[in-house]
Amino acid sequence: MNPSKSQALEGLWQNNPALVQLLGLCPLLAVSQTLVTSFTLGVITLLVLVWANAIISLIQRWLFEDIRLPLQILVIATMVTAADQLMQALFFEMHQRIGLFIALIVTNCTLLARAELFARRNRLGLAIADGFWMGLGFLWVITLLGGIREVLGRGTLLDGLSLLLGPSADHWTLVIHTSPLLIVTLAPGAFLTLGLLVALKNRMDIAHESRQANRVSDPIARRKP
Amino acid sequence: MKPAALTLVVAALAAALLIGFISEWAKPVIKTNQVNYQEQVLREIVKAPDAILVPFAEPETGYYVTRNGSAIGTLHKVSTHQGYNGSIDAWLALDLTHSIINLATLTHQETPGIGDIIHRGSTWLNQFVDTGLTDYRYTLRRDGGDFDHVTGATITSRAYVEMLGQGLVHARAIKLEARDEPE
Repeated sequence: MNPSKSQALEGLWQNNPALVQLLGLCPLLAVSQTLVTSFTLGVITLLVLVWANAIISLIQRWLFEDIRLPLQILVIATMVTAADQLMQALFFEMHQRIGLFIALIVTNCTLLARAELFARRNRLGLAIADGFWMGLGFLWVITLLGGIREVLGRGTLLDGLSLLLGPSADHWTLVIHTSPLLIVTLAPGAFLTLGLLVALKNRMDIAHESRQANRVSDPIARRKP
Repeated sequence: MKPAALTLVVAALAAALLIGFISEWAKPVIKTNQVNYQEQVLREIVKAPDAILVPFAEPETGYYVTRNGSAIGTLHKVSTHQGYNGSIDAWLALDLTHSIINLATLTHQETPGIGDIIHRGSTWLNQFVDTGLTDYRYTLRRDGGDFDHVTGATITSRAYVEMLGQGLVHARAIKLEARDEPE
């Protein structure tokens, strides 16, 4: 399989940061109450991850042993701060809603893990691709999680879309049902929903196990977090 | 200097410069956003498109809402630090009897998702419309008052209700008089 295809498969499925590596749980669980907030946080994480990976790949020859981790965190924190400022300038109302969690992207271990495990030992193109696919893997899981929790916990879908697209999107909110399950909105519901998604993924993997056995995989992927 | 130390210094400087540049660009934009947002919120809660807002003598604390030269109500900025995190700022639109015509949260840092109940236009906020100090006690029902809290967001609910109560007491002290419209 060619490298870009295997990278995509790794990020989106086999070594998905949210479903397999179980990294970045803090933002994953805390922000996934509605589809729109989840999607927004996912996109910002994706952008930060691509940029951080790119920069870390470019400066890899200066990542001396003693200062490697602080330097990587410095790069990630700089990217997150920049994203936070830009979001306040461009999506002010959305920032009002989830701004608190933007800063927490720094502590999303997906970023440090990809810097440490991948970006610092690979050339620029591969590092960017890795950031993109890992970011996309995080994005689809958090969006799905947000969608499920919104439908079950609130009975709506696409609530708050106007914060991204302007007031015209106010009417796009779908009301699915009117008997919300409160627990899905709260923290335990986040764990339960994610747990079910992980179980579902594992179930699907077992069904395809024979096919998977032949696939080349990143040795890190096999290591349990 | 050791190369590692030098690298760290250079990297820190580069990061500081980058953030500095972005922040310099973003600062005026964010300021404009805040002003526009507040204006939009005020226009929305006044519910009278032709009204003119005359600031209080103490600026940034409120406005007289006037139409055709006579006061039809007031806008009051209220805030509290009793929430879950940081300060909650909101605006109240009151009629001449100091009843709440409408209200909107301007900024807050409550937990996203859970603290969402205080967002503009939420059903929880709507319970305060058309209430006033004469008929209502501004504490939660579970604390002996007249308003519901939201399960999972009790601290935010309590902080908000008590903020409204204090804001209304404060508003009662402000003398309402007809104001001339500015040219």
